[in-house]
Amino acid sequence: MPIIQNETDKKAVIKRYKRRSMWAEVWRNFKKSKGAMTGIIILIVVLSACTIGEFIYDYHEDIVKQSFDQRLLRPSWKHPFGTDQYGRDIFARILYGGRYSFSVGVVAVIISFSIGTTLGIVAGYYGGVIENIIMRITDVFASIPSVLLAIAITAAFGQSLLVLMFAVGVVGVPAFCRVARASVMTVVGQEYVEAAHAAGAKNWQVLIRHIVPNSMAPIIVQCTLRVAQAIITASGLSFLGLGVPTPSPEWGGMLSDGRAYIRDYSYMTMFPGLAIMITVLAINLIGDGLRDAMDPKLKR
Amino acid sequence: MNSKGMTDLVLKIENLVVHYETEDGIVEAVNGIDLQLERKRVLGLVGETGAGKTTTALAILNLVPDPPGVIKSGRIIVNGKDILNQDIKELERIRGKDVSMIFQDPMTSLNPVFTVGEQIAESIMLHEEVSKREAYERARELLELVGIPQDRADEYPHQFSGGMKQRALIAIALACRPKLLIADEPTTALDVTIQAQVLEVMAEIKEKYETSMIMITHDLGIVAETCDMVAVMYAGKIVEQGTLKDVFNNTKHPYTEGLFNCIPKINDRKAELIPIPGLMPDPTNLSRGCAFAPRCSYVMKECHERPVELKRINDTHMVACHAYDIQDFHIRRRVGKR
Amino acid sequence: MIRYTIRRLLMLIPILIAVSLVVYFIVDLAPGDVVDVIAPDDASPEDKELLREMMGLNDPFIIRYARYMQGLMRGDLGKSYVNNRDVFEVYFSRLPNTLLLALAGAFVAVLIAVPLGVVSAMHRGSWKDAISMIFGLLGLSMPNFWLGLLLIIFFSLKLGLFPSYGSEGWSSIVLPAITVGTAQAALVMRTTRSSMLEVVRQDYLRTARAKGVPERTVIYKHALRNALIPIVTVMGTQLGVSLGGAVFTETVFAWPGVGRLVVDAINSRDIPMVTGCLILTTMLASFLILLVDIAYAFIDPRIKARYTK
Repeated sequence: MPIIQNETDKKAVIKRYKRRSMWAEVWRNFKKSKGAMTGIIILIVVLSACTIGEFIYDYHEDIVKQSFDQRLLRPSWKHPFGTDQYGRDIFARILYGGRYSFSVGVVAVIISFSIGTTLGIVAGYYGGVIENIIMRITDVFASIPSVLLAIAITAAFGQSLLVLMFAVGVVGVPAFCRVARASVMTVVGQEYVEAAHAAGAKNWQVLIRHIVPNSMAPIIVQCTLRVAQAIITASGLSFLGLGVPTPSPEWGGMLSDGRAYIRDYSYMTMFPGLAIMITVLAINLIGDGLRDAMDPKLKR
Repeated sequence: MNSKGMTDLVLKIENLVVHYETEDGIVEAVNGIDLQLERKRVLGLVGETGAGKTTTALAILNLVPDPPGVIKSGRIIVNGKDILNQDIKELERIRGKDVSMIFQDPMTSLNPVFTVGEQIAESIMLHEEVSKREAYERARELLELVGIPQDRADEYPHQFSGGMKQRALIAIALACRPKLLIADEPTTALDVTIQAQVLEVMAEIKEKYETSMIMITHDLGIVAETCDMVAVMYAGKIVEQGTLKDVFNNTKHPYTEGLFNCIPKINDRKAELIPIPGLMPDPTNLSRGCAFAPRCSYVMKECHERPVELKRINDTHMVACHAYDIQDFHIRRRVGKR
Repeated sequence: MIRYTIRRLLMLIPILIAVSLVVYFIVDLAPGDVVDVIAPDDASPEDKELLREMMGLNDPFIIRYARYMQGLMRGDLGKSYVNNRDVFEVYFSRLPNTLLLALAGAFVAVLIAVPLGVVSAMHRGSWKDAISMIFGLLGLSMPNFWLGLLLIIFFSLKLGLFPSYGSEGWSSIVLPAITVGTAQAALVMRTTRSSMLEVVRQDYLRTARAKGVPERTVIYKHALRNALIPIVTVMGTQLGVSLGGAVFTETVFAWPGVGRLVVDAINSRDIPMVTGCLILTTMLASFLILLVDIAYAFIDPRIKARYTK
C-alpha cells in the first residue's frame, strides 16, 4: 500500500516539504529584513550622490583650488557643509571623496578575498601538511595587530592610493582564510560530499561543484562586513596622514584637517565623519541582513 | 476507581488547549485533552511524533516555549496545585519538587560546563534547606542509586556515555522526590541494551519513592512493560484511553489498531506489517471532524463533518470514534495474538 | 594545564620569530636611508658609504635581522635616530599608558556590552533588542577617531566636563576610555547576543528550568557560562586590536602611549623606533591571544580535556 494515497495528501506533502532553492530562500529572507533594505537605500543614495559629484565638480576647479576669501565659512545655502581653511567647499569635497573610500573598500576586499579564500579553501579541503603551513602563516599575520601591519606597509611603500588598497587588503587576508577554511571543513564533512567522492568524482570536480558553492555563504557575509571595516581602516590611515596624500579629499584626511579647527569650526570634523559613518553603517546593515538571511539556524 | 478521593489524584488535566502561533499559521498542538493520574500509577502517553505528547508534558510544567507557544485554555492540577495560575516564584518551587521531567535527548540535556554532581546538587539546594556540602553528598548518593559510581560526580557530562547521561538526568529529576515524574521518550536516543537498564532504574526508583509517572513514548513495547494506564494521542487529541489491558487486549480505535499493526511480531514473522496510510494532518489546518478520518480504513461520511468526543466503553476505557455509534462495530485486529 | 601552558609558550616562540621577521622585513623595505638622516649635511657620498659599512647596513638582510634579534634578547633595540633615546626603554615607559587605556576601554565595553547583549537576546525582536542592535551597529560603524573628536567637541569644548587631551588625573582617561570602549562594546554586545541566541535554544536550559531554577539564574549562570567562549575570544582579540588601534585614540587625545609613539616615529622616519614598537606590540598581542586560549580551559571543561590530553 503506498504511503501517500490520494491527491490532496500529495499536494499537502509537496506544499509542506517543497524545497526552495537556497538563494531564492536567502533573497526572500533578505527582502524581509528592514535593516538590510534601509542599508541598501542609504547605500544607493550615497553612491548616486558621489557619482553625481563626479560629474558636476571639476577636480582642479572645485575640489583642490584654494580661495582664501571663502575660507572657514559656516554651513549655508551656498556651502551646505561650509568651507575649510583653504576656502574649499566641504560638501563638494565629501561627494568627490567618496570615490576613495569606495574604491579602497572594494579593491582591498577583492585582494583579501582572492588570496584569503583561495588559501582557506585549499587548507580546509586538502588538510595535512598544506593546511598546517597555510594556517601557521595565517596565524603569524593575524597576530600582528591589523592597524600596525597596515601602518608598516604604508610606511614601507610610501603614500598612495594603490599602497593603501594593498595595505588594507593584506590586513584582511587572515580573516578570509580562517572563515573559508572553517566553512569548507564543515562542508567537507557532509554526506553529499562523501557521496560525490564515492560516485567517482575527481577531487577538483568535488571542490568546484560541491564544496565551493556550499561554503560561500559565510564568505559572502565576511565580504560585506570587511568592506565596511576596510573603509574605516583606510580613512583611519588617511587620518594619521598615511593614506591618500593631500590635497585629495579623502574623508579621513578631511577629518584630520578639521582637527586643528575643532574648537571654533567643529562642522569641519562633523561632516566627513558623518559621511564615513553613514556609508559604513549602510554596508554593515546589508552585511547583517545577509548573515541573518543565510543562517538557517536563526530562523524560527 | 471513582470511589477514591480527590487527594489521591496526582495529576488532573481538564480541556487543555495549546497553540503555537508561528509565522506560517497557528499550529494546534493540543486540542482539548483531559487526563487524570493517581498516586503510584504509570500512564503511557502514546502517539506519533507531532501528536502533541511533549507539548502536553511541557504544559504540565508550564514550560511551553513562549513565544510561539500559548496555552489557550484548560486547567492543570498537580498535587493539588493549579499550575496555570501560579506566579513565577511559586512555579519555580513546584518544578523539580512536585513535578519533574526527563527529556528526550540525554546528549544535549545536561549543561556541559558544570559537573554532573553540581547539576544534581543544584536541584536539591533549590528546593531544600541544605548546605552546599550536604547537597553534593546527596547528589553522590543519588548517582549511586541510578547505578553510577559516586566518585564520578566530579566529572563533566562529556565524560559520560549516553546511558549514563540519561541516568544522571533521572537522578536530577528525582533529586527532590517529586510526586510526578514525566519521562519524555527517555530511551529513544539510547542503544537497545542501555534502554533496558535505564527503564529498570526508573522502575526501581519509582517503586522506592512512590512516584507517579507519565511515560511518553511511541514504543508500545515500553508501554506494555512499564505502564498501568494508556492514553493514545493523535493530532493533539486523546483518541483512546484506558488501562493497559483495555487498550492492548480490547483495542477500540482504528488508529491504535494501526499502531499495533506496525509492530513486527516475533512469533509470526511472516505476518505482514501494515503501515498506516498517509501522514499526520497539517496541524495548522485541522478539519472539523475526526483528524484521523483521511487515513482511516473504516471512514464514514460523518467522520469528516462531525467532531468526535471520547465516549465511555466501560469504567476505565474510553474511545473517540464515530464508528461505535453503530451497533456491533468492531475493528479487524485479532486481539490477544501478540 | 601547566604542561599545556608551557607547550603553548614554546609554540609561541616560532610564531614570535616569524612575526618579527615579517615586521622587520616590511619596515626594511621602507625607502630612505638612516645615513641620510644622521650624517651631517656636508658629508660626501664616500663618507656616507663608509658610515653604512660601519653600521652594518650593507650586510645581507638576514644577518641584520639576526643581529637585531640578538639585541632584542638583551633588551637592546637600538637608539632613536631622532633623539638618540633607547628604543626599548622608551617603549616600556610608554606601554603602561597604553595598557591602562586598553583595560579601561575593555572595562567600559564589558560593563555595557555583556548585559546589553544578554537582554537583547532574551527579548529578541522587542524594543530593547532594537535599541541594543542600533547601539551595536552605530558603535561598529563609527570610526573611533571620529568618535573621539565628537566627544571632545561635546564633553570638553561645549560642556567642559573632561579635558580634551593629556593624561593627568582620572578625568583625562574618561573620554579616551569611552572612545576605545565603544567599538569594543559594540562588538562584544553583538557577540554576546548571537552567542546567547545560540545557547538559549539548548536543551540543557530546559532541564534547568524543569528543575525549578529561577529564570535569572538560568540566564546568567547556565546560559551565559556557555555563551562565554566567543565573548572571551572577541574580548581577547579586541585587547590585541586596541594595542594597535590605540594609534587613533592616542593621536586624537594626545595620550602618551605606544600608539602615538609609532605615529610620531613614522612621521619622523625614525626607523629603529618604528621597528621596535611594531615588533614589541605584536609580541605582546601574541601573548594576549595565548592568554585567551588558556582562559577557554577555565570556561569549558571540554576544551580543558582536549588541552590536557
